[in-house]
Amino acid sequence: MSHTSIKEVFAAINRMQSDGVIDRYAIGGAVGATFYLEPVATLDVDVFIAFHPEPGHLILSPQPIFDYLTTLGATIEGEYLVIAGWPVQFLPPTNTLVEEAIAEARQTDVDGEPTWVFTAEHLAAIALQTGRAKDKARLLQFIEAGALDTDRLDAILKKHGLAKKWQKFERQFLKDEP
Amino acid sequence: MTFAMQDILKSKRALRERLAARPYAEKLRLLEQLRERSLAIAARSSSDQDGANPVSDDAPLRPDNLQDNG
Repeated sequence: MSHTSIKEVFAAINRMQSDGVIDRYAIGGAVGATFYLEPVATLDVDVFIAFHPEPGHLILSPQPIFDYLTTLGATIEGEYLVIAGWPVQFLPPTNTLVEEAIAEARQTDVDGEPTWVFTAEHLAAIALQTGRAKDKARLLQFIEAGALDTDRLDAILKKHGLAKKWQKFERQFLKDEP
Repeated sequence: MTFAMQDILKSKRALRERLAARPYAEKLRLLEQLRERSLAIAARSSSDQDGANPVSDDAPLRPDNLQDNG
């Protein structure tokens, strides 16, 4: 099987950022969660990005990203760009929570390659907001691992209108109530 | 070693905590290995279902894989 390297993915994204194709970015999903938890098995990498809007276009387009990365050797598979063997999905912020998560992402380092990762509290809040079964399972992992600053999470949930959803989640999974 | 469920759960939790405490770069290397194994298993499962090699040397031992040569 061919070698795959997430570090090469980060290097390509950093290069794209320094060349001005994208603004800030942050790693989310399972690869982001792995920063705080035990390795979380996944087949792809979710990269949330602040897009540069093209002049005269109201709809944000990922085309500049696809054009840039394919010249570096990435290949296109459906919605994914395959970089260094990893399918990578570039996602625009769809709401203010994700915008804030990108803005407040923390910088880290992978064998000398800098990268940005969502905070644990933002990953948890996004998981709650998304609300699929696997997102709830991940949220429980964060709680069980003691990886969350509860005051910070509470503030994020209130700010983004997720307090009721959290109460329901709490009743269902943490208090064992219907 | 024991089969006491509480001890098993305790040791699983301890393993997860040890893994979580490792440096991010090391955890990402583990994640890469997990992904490669998942893809290998998926490819193997797919080829088994296609019936490309139903009785290979390393095929699981099942009654329908055993031939009576006697």
